[in-house]
Amino acid sequence: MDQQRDVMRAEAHPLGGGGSASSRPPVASTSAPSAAGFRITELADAGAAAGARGLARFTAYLYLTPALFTMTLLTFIPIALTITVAFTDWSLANFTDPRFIGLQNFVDLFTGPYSPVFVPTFIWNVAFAALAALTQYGVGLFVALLLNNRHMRETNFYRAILILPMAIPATLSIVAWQGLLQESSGQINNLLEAIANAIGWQGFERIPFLLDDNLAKVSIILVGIWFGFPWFMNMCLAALSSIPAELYEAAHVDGATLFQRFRHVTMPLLLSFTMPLMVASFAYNFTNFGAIYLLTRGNPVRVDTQWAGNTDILITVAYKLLGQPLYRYGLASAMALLLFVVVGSMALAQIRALRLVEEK
Amino acid sequence: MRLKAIVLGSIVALLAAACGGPAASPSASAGASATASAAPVELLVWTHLTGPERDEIDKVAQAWAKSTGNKVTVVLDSGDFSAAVTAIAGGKGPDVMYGLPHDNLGNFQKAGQLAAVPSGIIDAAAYVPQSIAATSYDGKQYAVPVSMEAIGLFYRTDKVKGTPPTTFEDLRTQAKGGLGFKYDIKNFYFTYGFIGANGGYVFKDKGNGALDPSDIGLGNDGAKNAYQLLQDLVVSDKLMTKDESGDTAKAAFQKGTSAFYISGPWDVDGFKKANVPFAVAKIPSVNGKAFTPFIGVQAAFVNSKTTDAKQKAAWDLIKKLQTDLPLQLFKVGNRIPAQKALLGDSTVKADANVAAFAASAQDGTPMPNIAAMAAVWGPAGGVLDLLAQNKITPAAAADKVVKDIKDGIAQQK
Amino acid sequence: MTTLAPAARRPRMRTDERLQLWASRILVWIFIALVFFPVWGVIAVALSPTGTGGELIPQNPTGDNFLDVLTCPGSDRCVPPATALPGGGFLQWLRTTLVVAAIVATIQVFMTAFAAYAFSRLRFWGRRWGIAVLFLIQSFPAFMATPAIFMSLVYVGLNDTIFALILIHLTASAFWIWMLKGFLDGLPRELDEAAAVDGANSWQTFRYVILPLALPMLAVLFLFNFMTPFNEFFLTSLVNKSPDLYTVPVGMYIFVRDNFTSRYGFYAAATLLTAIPLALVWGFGQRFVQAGLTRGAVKG
Repeated sequence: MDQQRDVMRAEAHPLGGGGSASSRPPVASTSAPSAAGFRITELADAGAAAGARGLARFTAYLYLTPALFTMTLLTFIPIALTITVAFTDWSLANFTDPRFIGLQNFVDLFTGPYSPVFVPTFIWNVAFAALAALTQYGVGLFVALLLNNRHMRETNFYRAILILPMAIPATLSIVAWQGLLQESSGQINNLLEAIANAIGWQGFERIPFLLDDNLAKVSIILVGIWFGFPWFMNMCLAALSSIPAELYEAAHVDGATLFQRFRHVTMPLLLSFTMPLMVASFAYNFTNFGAIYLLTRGNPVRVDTQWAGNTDILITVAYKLLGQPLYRYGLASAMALLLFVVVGSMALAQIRALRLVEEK
Repeated sequence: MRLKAIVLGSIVALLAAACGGPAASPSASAGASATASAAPVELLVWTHLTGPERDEIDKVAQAWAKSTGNKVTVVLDSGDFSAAVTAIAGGKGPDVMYGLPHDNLGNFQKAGQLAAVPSGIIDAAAYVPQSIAATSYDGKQYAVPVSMEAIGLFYRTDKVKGTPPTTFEDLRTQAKGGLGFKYDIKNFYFTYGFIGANGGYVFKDKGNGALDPSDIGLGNDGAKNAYQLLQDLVVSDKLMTKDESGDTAKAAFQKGTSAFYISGPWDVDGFKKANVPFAVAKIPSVNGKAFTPFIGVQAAFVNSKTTDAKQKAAWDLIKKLQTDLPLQLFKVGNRIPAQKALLGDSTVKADANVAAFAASAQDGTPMPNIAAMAAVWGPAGGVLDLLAQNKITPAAAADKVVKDIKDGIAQQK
Repeated sequence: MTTLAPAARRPRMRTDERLQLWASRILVWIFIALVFFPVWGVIAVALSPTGTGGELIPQNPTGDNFLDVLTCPGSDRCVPPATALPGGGFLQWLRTTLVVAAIVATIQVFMTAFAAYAFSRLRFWGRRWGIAVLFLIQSFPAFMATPAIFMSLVYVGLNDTIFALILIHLTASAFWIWMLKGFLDGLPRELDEAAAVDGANSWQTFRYVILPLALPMLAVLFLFNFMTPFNEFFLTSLVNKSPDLYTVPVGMYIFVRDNFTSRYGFYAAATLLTAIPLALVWGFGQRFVQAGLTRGAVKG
C-alpha cells in the first residue's frame, strides 16, 4: 500500500512534468535520428542496469508472451502453411492427395494463360498504390492545414465530423458507394443531372463510373480518398500541433508571407514526419484487397483475358485463383508468395524509414 | 498427404496444447467405421435453401430424430462451396447436404465426397427425368432431387392487355412500344435460354446424359445469333441499360416502368407482398423455337467421408424428408416439386405461377453438373457484360467465350 | 505544453488572418459536404418508403425501415422477407458484434501494451530488431493466409463457436506495438527510476505509472480494434455458419444478397443504426486520437 502511494507520487515527480519529452520539437529526432536514438538507448541502459539483469530478461519475455503467442497462432503458422502449399499441387481436383511439385506453380504462373495479365496488372497495382497514398495524403494534409488555425475555435467539432469515414464500417459504406456510382440509378449521376437541368445544359450524359475502364480506376481512387484521408488528416494535425508556435511568430515578425511560412516552416517539419507514413500507405494499398474487390470485383471485364479485370490488382487476381473456376490453392499460394517478396522489400524500406530497428 | 498430415498435425497439436481442449484427429472420422447401427447418432445437416425452408426441414428432421432416437442439427449454409468441400475433407463438414444447387455437385464429386445413393431410397421413375439426369454421373445416382426451379416471364397485369405474348418478337414490339422489358441480361443463368433456342449449347450431350466438356457449343452460329439479339436489346432497342442488373430490373418491374421481367420463383413472394399486379407465363418462343431455360435442381447428398452408421441414418433421414417435406417446401419456397406425383397435387396445380414455371421447365435443360461447368460461368458472364456495353462484336464474343472456357478447363488441375 | 499553445492563446486577429480564417472555414464546409454526401445517400434511401434508392430527397419520408430493423423478425409489423431475418435479426447481430468487438479490443489493448512496454523499457535479447522482424513477417499479404486459418480452425473443431469469432481478430500487430512503443518512449524515464527507487517492480511500474499515462494511446488502440469485427466479412463468414453467431456484416450480407432491391431501405437503415453509435464513440474519442497520435507517432 505504501509502495503504491509512493509510485503514484512518482507521477508528479518534478522531472516528469507530464510530457516534457513530447513537447520537444520533432525536428530534433527527425533531422538527427541517430542522436535521438542514442539518447533513448542510453537511458534504457541506465534503467536496466538498476535492476537484476537475468530476472529482467525473463520478465521481458513474459510481457511479450501474449503478443507472440497470438502472432504465432494466427500469423506465423498460417503464413508457413500458405508458403508450404505454394510448392504443392493442392487443389479442389487434387484435394486429398497433394504432393510436392517444387517450383512448378511458379513456372505455371509465368508460362500459363495468366502470364499476359501480370504486366498490366502490376503496372496498375503500382499506380493504384502510389496514387492512393499520394491523394489520400494530399487531401488529408490540405484539410489538416485548414483546420490547424488557432483562430478556428470549432476545429474539434469539424474533426469529429470529418473522421466519419473511419467510424462507419467499410463493409457497409462500400456498398453505399457502389450504389451512388451506378450509371443509370446512382445518386451522383442524379445530382449531376439535376444540376445540368438547372443550368440548362442539354448535352449532359450520365457518367459510367464503374463501367468505363478508366473511370472505374478514377472512381476507385476517389472512393479511396474518402476512406483514407481522415487518417492522414489526423496524422498531419498531430504533426502540425507539435510545431512550436514561436516559429510562426518569429516568421511573421520577419515579414514572411503565408506561403513563405508554409514553404519554409511548416513543410520541412511536416514532410520529415509524414514521409514514412506515405511509404506505409503505399505498402498497405499495394495489397488493399477490399478497396478493389468490394467496389468493382476487379471489373470492368477485359476483352483480351478472363484472368483479370481492368481494376484487378495482384492480390485480387491471386484471390480469384483460389475460387471458381480453378480452386488451385497451390497456384494461389505461389502468387501470394511472390507478392510477399514485393511487399516484403517495401517493408524493409519502411523499417528504415520508420526507424524500426533501434541504433545501438 | 504425408506433407499435409505433418503440417496440419503440428497445428492441431499446437492449438490443442494452447486451448487445453481435446484435439479432433483429422482422420478419426474416416477411420472409424462399422459401429453398431443401433447406437444413436448425431447428424449435421447443411442446407443452401432459404431461412423459412430451413425451418421446415428442421421440423421434419426433429420429428424423425424423436422417433429414431437420433439427434439432428439443421443449419443454413451460405458460404462458398469450396468452404463446404474443405470442411468435409477436414472431417468437420455436414453429414447431409440438403438443397444444394445441383450444378455445384461436380465439385464434391471431384473431391470424392458424394456417397452413391443406395437402392431403395428413391424410385427414379417417380421423378421428373431432368432432375434425375441432373443428379447422376455416368448413369449412376449420387444425389436425390428435392425440387426444381426454372425461370418464367413475369408480366404486369395492369399494363399488358389480354394474354401475354407467345413469341419473343411480339414481346419485343410491345416492349419497344413503351411497356418496357428488363431482366438480369448479363447473367448467363437467365440468358442461356436465348442461346439454347438459337441452337447453342454448353457441353454436348453424348447421349446417355453424359456431357462432353471438349465440345463447347457457345461459339456456334446459333449462339452468335443469340449474342446479336442480346446486344440489340441493349444497344439499339435501349430496353435495358448497360449496367442492368437483377436488382435494377426487379425494381423497374415493381415500379411499373417495365412491364416484362424474366426471373424465377424466388421473386413471387416479394411481388405479392408489395402488391404488384403481376402474373407469370411461359417464356415466349424465340425465332419460332422454344426458349430453353436452365433447370436448377435442389439436390440432397450424403457425405461419403462420414461413418457408415451416420451414412445409414442419413439416408433414412433423406427418405423421410422426401416423403414428408415436399409440399411444405413448396408452400414456403415456391419451387417446383421434383416428384411427378406431387406435380399433380391439388395445392401445386392450383398455383398458376408454378404451373407457368413448370411449363417453361418442360423445354429446359438441366444446368451441366460436371466440374467443368465452373469454368463456364465467369467467361460467359464476362462476354455478356462486354456485349451489353458494346465493347465486343457477337462474332468476337463467340470466339472469346469458347477459348476462355477451354483455357479454364485446362487449368482446372 | 507547447503543443497546446496555439489553441490556448488567442490574440486579436489581423485582417489577413480573419480573411484566411473565413476562407478556411468555407473550404472545410465544402469538405464536410463532400464527406457527408454518401452518408446522405444512405439516409435518403433509409427514409424512402419504396427503399429503391436513387432519390436525392426522399418524397414521403418514413421511419418504417428503422422500425423494421429494430423490431423484425419478432413483431407483427414485419412482412417477408423481414420475417425471415437470419439469426434473430439486426439487434442480435449487433449484440454479437459488440460483444466480440469489446473483447477483441480489450485483449488487443493489453497484449499490445505488454509488448510495447517490454520493447520500450526492458532489456532482452531481440529488443533492437524484434519489432522490425515481426513487422517484416506481417507484411505477408495476410488475406491470402485466410484459408489456412480457416482450415486450422476446422481441424481443431473451433469453427462455429464465439471463440473462433474472437480468435480470428486477436493477432497482435507489429505496427501498433511500434506506435505504442513510440508513445511510451516519449514518457520520461525519470518516472520509472523514481518508481524503482521506491521499490516498485516492473509490474508495478507498468501498472501504476505507465498504463495511466498511456491512456490516450490505449484509447486509440481500443477504437481501431473495436472496428475490426465490424469490418471483417470473409473470414468471419467462413468460420461461422451458425445464425446465432452472425455479426452485423455477415447478417446484412446474407439478408440482402437475395433481397437487395426490395430491401435496400432496410439495408440503409441498418447501416445507419450501426454507424451512429460508432460515429459517436469516434467523435468523443477524437481527442484521444489526437493526443495519442501526436505523441505516438511524432516521437520526441
